[in-house]
Amino acid sequence: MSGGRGVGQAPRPYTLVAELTYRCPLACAYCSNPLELGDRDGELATADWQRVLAQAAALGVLQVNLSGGEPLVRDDLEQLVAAARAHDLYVNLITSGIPADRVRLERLVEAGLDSLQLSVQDTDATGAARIAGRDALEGKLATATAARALGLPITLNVVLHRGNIGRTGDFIALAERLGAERLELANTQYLGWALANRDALLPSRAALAEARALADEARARLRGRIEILFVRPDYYADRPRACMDGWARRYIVVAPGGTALPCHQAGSIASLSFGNVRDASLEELWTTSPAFVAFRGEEWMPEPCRTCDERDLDFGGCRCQAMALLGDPAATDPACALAPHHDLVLAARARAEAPGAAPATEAPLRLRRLPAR
Amino acid sequence: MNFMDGKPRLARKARLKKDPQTGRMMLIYPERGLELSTTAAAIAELCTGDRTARDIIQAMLERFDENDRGRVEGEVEAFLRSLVDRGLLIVDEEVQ
Repeated sequence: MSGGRGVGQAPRPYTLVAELTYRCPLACAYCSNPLELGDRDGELATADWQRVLAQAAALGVLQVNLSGGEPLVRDDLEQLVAAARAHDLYVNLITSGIPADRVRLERLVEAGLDSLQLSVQDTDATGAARIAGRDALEGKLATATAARALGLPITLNVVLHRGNIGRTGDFIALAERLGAERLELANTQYLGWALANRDALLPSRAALAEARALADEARARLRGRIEILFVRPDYYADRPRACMDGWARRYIVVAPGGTALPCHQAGSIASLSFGNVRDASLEELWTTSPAFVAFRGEEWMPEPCRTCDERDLDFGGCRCQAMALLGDPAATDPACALAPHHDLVLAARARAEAPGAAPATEAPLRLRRLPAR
Repeated sequence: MNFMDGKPRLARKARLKKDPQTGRMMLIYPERGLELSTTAAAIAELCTGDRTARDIIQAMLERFDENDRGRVEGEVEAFLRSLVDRGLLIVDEEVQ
């Protein structure tokens, strides 16, 4: 999306990521939820989310991603879909596909759901159980079949890592078989849970190149039928990711307890203070909350970013990665080959390539703990 | 089947929606959105699966000066094909 009128000094947000809950039947070792899944504030009530959706639309948001955790565990999901559609938002449901049955999906479609993004951890049962704590493929396939019968467009969301990247061809075949309209082959980015499991998840350069070639071939072959996205891990990109299309530039994330964040991981930056939608409007949070203002634009950038020709492309990369690897959220993203601490990323790559690296089926994994309630 | 004889319709994942802040039409699909010019929006609105690509070009020609015929024909077809390439427009009539 391009253009868009500013709100005060702030750009205009396009997408609201509504993390409805941290509860989830799966325990993926690369989960994008924070490491601390504490639920101090309790989940927002239906009325809170209805208010947030209205405020988001008024602020210029066009699209909402209903996410989690697993959003299907909330009984009011249909109400929230309907509320989003009442404000003419495009509604994506980002789900593991369990627990869902045909009746529930029908209700969601009736409420106005536009699109289903269904995660598939692995096509291999052992691999799926290893990475997510259980194999749920059968339930997911049933969900996809029911969605297809209801005319609901499907994106298959696959997070690639050392344990499943060798099955990229199987994921493509599955997307074809299920009649998906999109396939996201997104490599793990190493933050939060994924960083804790980095040495077990980071693939070799050769495995990555092979997967990418398969995705390129499939994209050409399936052009016009299935949109295929392939996202590299920034560890192998030599340039940082344009994380969230720039800090507080396009996206607002609202966590289950109501904290408003510029990205899923931003809570890991302890020096920032975050507001809550229970206490302030989304517009106030977006335009003036210190957490949103901190790294918006270019003022915060150190060299070499500040004078880099590519700063309009990557917006200085990922602040949470700088925080996680260097303890300084304003440092140059170490994923960049021009960063003073790029050696940290090179060292992780070297471990992934080393002859003694644990094979994908054996490397120890720390699965996401379910939140205590 | 010739491209011109197909009856294009928007893909299920794509929805036309007015951006209340700019007044422009947007073609929204998962995690993306395409801002459309007035002409592009008019073309997209004709993609209902009821008209052939040829009909759509004809309808658009009526909005422009006859002297621009060649340019309009080329641009409408190019736009339709670009939407097909992005998976936003379905042209074949195969039963799914």
